[in-house]
Amino acid sequence: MDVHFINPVIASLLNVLSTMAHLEPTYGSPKIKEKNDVVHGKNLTGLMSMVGKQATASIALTFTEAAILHIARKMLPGEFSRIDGVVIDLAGELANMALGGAKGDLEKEGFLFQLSLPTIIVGSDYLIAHRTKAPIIMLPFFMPEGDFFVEASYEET
Amino acid sequence: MAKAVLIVDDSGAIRMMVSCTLESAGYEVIEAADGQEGLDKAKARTVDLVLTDQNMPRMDGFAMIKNLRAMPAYKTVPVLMLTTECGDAMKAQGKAAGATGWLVKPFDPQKLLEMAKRMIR
Repeated sequence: MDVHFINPVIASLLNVLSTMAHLEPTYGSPKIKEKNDVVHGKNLTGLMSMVGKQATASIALTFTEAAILHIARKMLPGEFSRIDGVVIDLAGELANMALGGAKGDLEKEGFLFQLSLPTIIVGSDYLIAHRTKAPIIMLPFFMPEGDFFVEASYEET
Repeated sequence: MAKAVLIVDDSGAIRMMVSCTLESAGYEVIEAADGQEGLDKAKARTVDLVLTDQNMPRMDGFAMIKNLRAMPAYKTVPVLMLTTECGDAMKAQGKAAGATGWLVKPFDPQKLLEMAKRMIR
């Protein structure tokens, strides 16, 4: 994994959460995801791809139910006690903003990408299937109220 | 009478966030989920400011702005684009369509409010 790709994604995600939700999550050490690793417990994932002439990438943001409900309460008016349509929409928008920001940074370095629309997965104990043969890096993020993680793969074309 | 702002975005969460920010400052907010609905609502009632996303189903932001600018009531109404992408080519397209300004997502709600106040003045 090229850090020139993953670093803008991490920076952009942290910027989104800081700017719009006033949250400052910490993050742990990255690890390689095994292809058949299932996401345990109730979660919500925004999965997007970035396709360019030089490379393609697949990125997933996966929030535990506690994490996405906390983010929703920080960003939106009202109380959120379960994953509903607004929370699902919010997860897609977070993925969109994080990847949109990373795309802008990568463009400054000469990497041009097209972003897909986010695909949202909601459920318990599911597999996130990235359309790539490249290794997938998993990076965990921590908040007192709940955790989330990013999966990213990057493949030069 | 409260100044009216039309927010056009296919994300319900973003519309909710923007509406809450502007309503708390006394603005009347009208929501639309795509460019076509935005155009219909703008025709039904002239607003003081339009905030719009670019990538939306049915009609995108640029097309909606071009249609708005063709209406006499919207020749000079400020239109602020609120998008995740902000490359030079995209900004040039927005300007050519008639956009007045640009605010990139993620945005600080307070900054959005300050921009809205400046543009409506």
